[in-house]
Amino acid sequence: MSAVVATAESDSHLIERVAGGDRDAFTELYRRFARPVLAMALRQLGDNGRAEEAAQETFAAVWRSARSYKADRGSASAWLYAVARHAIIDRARQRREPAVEVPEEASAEAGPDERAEGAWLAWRVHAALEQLPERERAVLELAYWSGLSQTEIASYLDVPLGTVKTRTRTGLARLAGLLEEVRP
Amino acid sequence: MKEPPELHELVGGDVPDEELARLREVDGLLRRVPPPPHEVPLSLTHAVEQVSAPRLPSRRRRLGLTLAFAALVAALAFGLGRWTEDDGFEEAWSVVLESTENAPAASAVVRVGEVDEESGNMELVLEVSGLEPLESDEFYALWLADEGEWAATCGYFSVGEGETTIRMSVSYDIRDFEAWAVSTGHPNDHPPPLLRAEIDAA
Repeated sequence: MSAVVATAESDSHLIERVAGGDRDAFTELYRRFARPVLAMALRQLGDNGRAEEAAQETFAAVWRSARSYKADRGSASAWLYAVARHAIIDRARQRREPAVEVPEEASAEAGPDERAEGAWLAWRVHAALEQLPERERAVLELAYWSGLSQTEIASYLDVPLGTVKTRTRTGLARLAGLLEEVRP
Repeated sequence: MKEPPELHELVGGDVPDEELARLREVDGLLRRVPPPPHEVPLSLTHAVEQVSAPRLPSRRRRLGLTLAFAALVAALAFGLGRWTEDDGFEEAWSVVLESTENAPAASAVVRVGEVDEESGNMELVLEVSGLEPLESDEFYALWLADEGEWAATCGYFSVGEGETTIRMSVSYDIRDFEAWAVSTGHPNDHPPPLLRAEIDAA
């Protein structure tokens, strides 16, 4: 089975339309990136309210700053990631908490480089998921993050088990095409 | 939470080796990343809708003493020390919202920032207390009324116990409207205001 390549309008073109004040393009961009932005904000900020504020500010910044996007300098996804990251950092800075002391002993937790790499990977995967047909995305999310078995997913979605497996396979194949450059 | 089943269980056993290898790489990525949020809150979608909403035409431009007086009263009521905050928000003026019979215990103040000359946006900080926390799928809204009707949304929010502070950004000219209002829900529901303040000739 070959990977299915999405034929939807590119993110770059959408941003260019947003720069021209196109609200429909902005709505489509929001539909594609709302969950990746919110996911990143939730992970970084840890509370729903502030994550929503950061997400709102991200899209406000996209609307204001779309003209600054230059397609020849990088991908649209990377530009949106940077906009979201800045909004989240700004929101994090507004938290008035005493500075955390730097631990003297080395930590087993991921360092800044690993965290940044992980955030970028999650962003790409989440953004790619948004490009899948709903029926495939739903099956993949249930399979990987719900703890349900394939049989339970079939029952939950009220479709045959074979359909669940087929949708999982086609969804993974489509993701493989979308995530070509980030796979190891 | 249980680990997802092995890949061959997920996709069935009749997948050619070459394709299976390709799927395995994606399978590995999905196992490495955390789940995305189940859904995007309606409140966020509503708030983002307002980001690109067209500016409403200016209806009233009565600048003058009333605004200055209102700003002075607000400043005195809430302390001159709050005109400049250390969180990057620079307050230009503020207004007290009065509770209505629908929420007699509620109180709120809207602190209005300077208009950003480059973007045309203006920050608002809403400090509200005395509103009942709502169910997870419900939310409050701060909106601007014109001719008694919901004319523009500043933002949607939830509240906790005690005082809740919400930052918003709008591109409206506040002077185009006649009143601030806080209510539950959506403009289509025509909800009654819980808190309200006139924008008198501002």
